[in-house]
Amino acid sequence: MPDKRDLRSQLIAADRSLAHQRLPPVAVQRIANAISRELDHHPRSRWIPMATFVAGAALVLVFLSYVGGVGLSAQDEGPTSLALQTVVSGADCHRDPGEALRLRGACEVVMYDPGIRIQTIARADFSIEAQRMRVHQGSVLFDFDKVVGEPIRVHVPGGEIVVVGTRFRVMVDGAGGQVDLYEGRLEFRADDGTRTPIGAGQTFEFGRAHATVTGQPKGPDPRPPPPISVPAAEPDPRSPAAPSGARPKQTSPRPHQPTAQPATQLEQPSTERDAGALIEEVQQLERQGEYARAATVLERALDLAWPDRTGDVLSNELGRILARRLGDRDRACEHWARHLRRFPSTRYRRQIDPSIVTLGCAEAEVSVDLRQTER
Amino acid sequence: MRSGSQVLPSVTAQGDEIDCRARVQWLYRHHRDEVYRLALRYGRGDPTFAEDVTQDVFVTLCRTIDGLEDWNDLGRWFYRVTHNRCLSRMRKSAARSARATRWLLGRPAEVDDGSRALHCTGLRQVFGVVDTLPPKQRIAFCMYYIDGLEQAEVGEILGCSKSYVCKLIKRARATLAAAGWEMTDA
Repeated sequence: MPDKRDLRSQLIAADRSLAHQRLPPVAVQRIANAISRELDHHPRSRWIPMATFVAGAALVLVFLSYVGGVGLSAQDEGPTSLALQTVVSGADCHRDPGEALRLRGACEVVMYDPGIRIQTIARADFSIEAQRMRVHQGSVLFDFDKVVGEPIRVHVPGGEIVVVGTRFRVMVDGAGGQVDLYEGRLEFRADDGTRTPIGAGQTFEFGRAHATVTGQPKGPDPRPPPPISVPAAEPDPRSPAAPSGARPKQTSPRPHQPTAQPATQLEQPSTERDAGALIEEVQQLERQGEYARAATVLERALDLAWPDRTGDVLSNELGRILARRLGDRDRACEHWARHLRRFPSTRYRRQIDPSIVTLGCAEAEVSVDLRQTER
Repeated sequence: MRSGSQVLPSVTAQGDEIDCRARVQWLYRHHRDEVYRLALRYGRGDPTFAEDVTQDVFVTLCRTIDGLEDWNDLGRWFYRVTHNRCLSRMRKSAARSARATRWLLGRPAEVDDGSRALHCTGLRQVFGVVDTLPPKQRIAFCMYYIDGLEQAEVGEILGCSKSYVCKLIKRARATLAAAGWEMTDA
């Protein structure tokens, strides 16, 4: 039974418990679309821009000819400079002169297309030029609306962080630093080409010599946890050796071993729903053009225990990406051979056989069964 | 809900005036979570209710943005509109779930989906107490006791007189007292 004394203090406490709640990312996008539709269809939104355009036509033409056609409108076609769409504020914010936007101190930067909000903490050193951002020093908090099209890149010592819509903090200290991801997904691309996905609630350290440890979830995340998480382990032997000073510290699991991170959806996958979520994630990556990453996600997933039927589906997806999307003949042939050994009664024989022929996989690479069916 | 710390820029770093769409987007980014949280309070933690209210508020913003005067004090505007949208939805919900309406439309009683309510049983019980009040009483009560507004301010937001607000709060207290709850004054 609840304590019936002093309802007011209980109500206030209950209300404060909602203080951490944020509008879920899916709702953020849905409502943003509704706002956009409302602005497009509202009668006023038609004639005001038209009237402004007529009145300022000559001035706009002069402006466009001066800056080369770059503007603030979300309807502009072609690449636009991030630096030209920013609003900078902050009492202790110092802006260096020059074409690139270079900020030092405590600043707040707001961009409109795409919607980005950036806060730099005191003594931070941060710059924006063309389509790139760079954290030189200090701590910077990023809050992105969903980025459509070319991902935005944040350069840091040792690599770059690729952003497609998320909320995270980057801290750079000398030659290294870390990124704390609160929402969404990121990928760290080291200078040596290694790519490491980062899930919500994780911390990734970059640019330092000593090994890093994956972070624990930092706080409530409105989105479900990522299906594959990256535990602390030795460097992935499949990735190329990194030159000294640029070694990525985030590590990937040993090949053919399950991940060590507890309590994820797919640690003991056995349900169609888990596979469905995984397929959805892979399809999303494919839509974004992230084929290598999609393949990596599937490769790691296939290390886990799946029912044969589900494993057959996932393995076929991987082979399709390797063969058609990445065009990696060697890996695709090797994968199809593994697939046919693991799933001799595969449902995708009619697709796999032509793929093997098209790729020109050597007879020794594929199952004996294939040679028998070709007769 | 305060927006004083967030100054809506009127021009870009290059001196170009920001258009209506950009202003709305800026306001959406800076106020959406506050609106959402406020709506969660009256929706008993139901995210669907809160999301719908949030959308209503910002669609209203799109329609009335030309008439807004003080761009740098829109916190009060959002507070007022969010409360009015919550009140409107709560009234519709109460009307839909009234016995006579259900009988007329042939609908069964709505089942309280526990998965949509606040995760903590204690919080659910506390908000559940206030949930028994009629919508306008509930809102006036929360604005007065949780947000600490004066009765005149509550009346201004709800569009009624101070004396009527006083009456609403008294009735709410009487209802809660009858259920055994005690209230300390704000």
